[in-house]
Amino acid sequence: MNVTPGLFSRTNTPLLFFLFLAIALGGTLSIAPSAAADEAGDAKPLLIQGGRILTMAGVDFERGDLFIRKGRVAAVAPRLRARRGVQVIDASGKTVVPGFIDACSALLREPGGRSGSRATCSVIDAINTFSLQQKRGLEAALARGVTTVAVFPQASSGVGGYAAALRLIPDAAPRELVVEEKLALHAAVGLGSYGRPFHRLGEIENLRGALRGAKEYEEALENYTEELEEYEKKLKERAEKDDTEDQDKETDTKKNGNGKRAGRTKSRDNNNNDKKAESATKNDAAKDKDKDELKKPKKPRHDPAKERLLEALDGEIPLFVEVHRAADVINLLDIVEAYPVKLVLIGCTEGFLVTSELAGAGVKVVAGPAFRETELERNEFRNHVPWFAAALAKAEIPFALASSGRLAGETRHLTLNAAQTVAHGLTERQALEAITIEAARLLGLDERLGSLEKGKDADLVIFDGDPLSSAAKVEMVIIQGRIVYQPGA
Amino acid sequence: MKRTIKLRIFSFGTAFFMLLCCLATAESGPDGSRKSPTPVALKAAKVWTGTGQVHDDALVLLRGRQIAAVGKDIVLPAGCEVIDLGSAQIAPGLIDPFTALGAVGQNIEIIDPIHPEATAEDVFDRFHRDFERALAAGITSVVITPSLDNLVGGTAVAVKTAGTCACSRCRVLRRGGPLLLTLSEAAQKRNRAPTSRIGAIDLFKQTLARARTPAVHGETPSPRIEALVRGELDAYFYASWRYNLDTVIGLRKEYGLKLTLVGLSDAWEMIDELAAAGMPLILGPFNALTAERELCVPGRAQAAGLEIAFTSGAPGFKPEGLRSSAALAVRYGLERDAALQAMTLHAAKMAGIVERVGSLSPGKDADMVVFSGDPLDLSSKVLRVYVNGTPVYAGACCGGCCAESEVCP
Repeated sequence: MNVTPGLFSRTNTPLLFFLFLAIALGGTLSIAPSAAADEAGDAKPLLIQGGRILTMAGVDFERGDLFIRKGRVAAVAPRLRARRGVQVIDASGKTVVPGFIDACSALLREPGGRSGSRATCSVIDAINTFSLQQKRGLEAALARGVTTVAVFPQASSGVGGYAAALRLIPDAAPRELVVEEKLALHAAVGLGSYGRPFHRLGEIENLRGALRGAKEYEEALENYTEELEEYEKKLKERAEKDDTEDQDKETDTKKNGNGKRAGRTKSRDNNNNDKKAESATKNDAAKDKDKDELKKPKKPRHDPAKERLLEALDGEIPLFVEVHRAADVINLLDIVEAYPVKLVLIGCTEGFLVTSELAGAGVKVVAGPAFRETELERNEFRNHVPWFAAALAKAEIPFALASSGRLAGETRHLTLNAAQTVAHGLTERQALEAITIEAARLLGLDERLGSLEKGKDADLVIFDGDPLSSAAKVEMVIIQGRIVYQPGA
Repeated sequence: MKRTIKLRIFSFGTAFFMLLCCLATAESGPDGSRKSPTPVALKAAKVWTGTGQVHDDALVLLRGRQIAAVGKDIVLPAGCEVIDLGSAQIAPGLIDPFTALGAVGQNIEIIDPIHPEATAEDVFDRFHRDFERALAAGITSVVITPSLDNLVGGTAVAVKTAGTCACSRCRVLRRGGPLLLTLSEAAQKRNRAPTSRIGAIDLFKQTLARARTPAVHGETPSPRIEALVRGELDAYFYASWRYNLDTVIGLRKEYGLKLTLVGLSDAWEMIDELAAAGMPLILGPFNALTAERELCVPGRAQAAGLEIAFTSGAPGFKPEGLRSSAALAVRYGLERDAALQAMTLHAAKMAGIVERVGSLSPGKDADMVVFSGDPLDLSSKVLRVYVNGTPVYAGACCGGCCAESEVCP
């Protein structure tokens, strides 16, 4: 790949004239803003020239230029001019695509059993970028065009904690990779039930119970707030009354009953406790006794697990549930009807059997992996069909294609996964969208990632040919405007 | 020994019965392709011959069950029907040289560790649905082996995954070979010798030595092991790891054995030695979790001049794994053409069926796969499969949810 310094200077008059002419003619020539010398960004502005650009935002360019400044896409157009200080990357004959997103990856997560994770966990705590193996995995994935991964805690049943979205930047500390730390709340159904037929029912009930518990917790909190308000109101009243009484005692000792009357009128506002208030004014001794009776409401014990589920119930974060069997999916949809959350299903191996239900419930799916060879896998995946993605597409269910999130090595083959779905009913466009913009949408990151549009993060990959071909080679990977991978460089 | 003889009788009996059955079928003749006088030619955007040639916009002319000619400018006979396949590409029927299709659970014999006279052809169920699935993955021929529970497991059988009739003659490509050998842990049992690696190697060596000089030991020799040590019978040697390979390479040299190595997962350390020994390799199945250095082996082996083939691991793994293994190898440096040859011609050579299948050459069986695109891209789909010149698979319509552009049967 040729990287040449800026070709055209600011003072190139004939060029400027041509530029003006083109604009006047309503042509397609736009200007890449020149890189100001005092630009703050430490990464040099980049101009990727002459490549076939698949923006994944509706418009593709058979031959287009893409300008990157301050880590973001600044312009995409058929033709842009480079000014001084802009690094030009010649991509003629190559294909430029947004960096691929693996919507369910195990990359960078410490490998471990499927049991430990709880609702209060965050997968970010299990991210390790320092182990040699993880480093290699990251580079291998990057070398195949994957720039972002969503990593989920490895819950086998019940709620498993926060998932995170990470950028695959080599040699960076875990926190530098974070795109979104609280991407979603993760849960799983059915995975713990292999060989234990009665467990499955328990798992569904676990999840339902967790949501019910969170709801009750919320109600208890609301009750507490109400009671507290009431209590404070009463306290205030009492204080005011005491004040008046004291004043009465001080100023109106001769006029008996005046204070009493005042107390009574005031207490009328308070429906529940007017009798008490009345009696309270009768004599001081009774008043002290009443003060003891007016108890401060007890605050429900703080429960961080339920707090997190409440975030999902309030729609602040989506709930991603790994589920594979159709029967579990139906149960899950019932739960969601009772406790509305933004539900996204992971895996969903038998989703093709219940497409109408999924579409009816408006659920999204992180589907895959397509690249699943073993026949003798566990019950959960037994009914895997190669056309699972085509079935979802036909039912117009939004979906992303991802690896299984079980082993880190899968992420590097994301494009092969996508290619395989093309052989079984998806169009090439749909398959590419499922690992770029659709994946970003599902993860709620589409404002920043997933397509090559002005203002989005400049995460992109330059391929030497068709990205879904087996022999496709990645020539360059750029993350946030920085070249992070270049074979042979 | 008694058991062996019984088995052999059974084998002859079965073969005789099958032959009778086949003759009967041939005479009654439901076989349409042989009687049909109309010659057929297929036209496709690309024809991969399997011998290293790729023709653009070429024709494949069939004569009955066989291929008559392949090329761009071949002369078509009068009245020839031309089937235009548009942008599709034709490749030879894929071959999986190491499977247990239709024989899972039936091919296990664990009493006698040396079992040369057993044959897999007696136990495979040719009506098993595994064959249909293999066909859908573009696999037209497979080798079915005995299980890996014995040091000498018996002979494998090479069969087609479909035939123009149900008789075994139309299905069986090669009886009695290759012989399956192994020293792996699977062949070491707790309740019979060998129980260890050292015992396995010793027994293995003794078996070969006795076959070379049976008179000295005063034993009834096994004809198959005798054939093996005379270099007349080829064999598959299964080794998951390289640690027994020095022994094997030594024995191969000593006896002049014809060996194909199967299953070697860590061949990256051995490529030069294997190339020097000229031992072909059957690799795979590769999947998304296979280590990258293992995925680099096919490309490096090919560069070193080694012949390679792939296995899908079917039926334990999906038969589609044959093509995805090759695609992964392409991803890690194997040339497309070499990858296609590995799945066709080289596999046929290792299975010993190259006279009949493995390439689109005049005179060979017309076993072909029609792909929607490049056979090595996983985005290409198997549209049609021909066996003996007859279409036997015409695409599954993914449960009725295929895109409208797709051709549905």
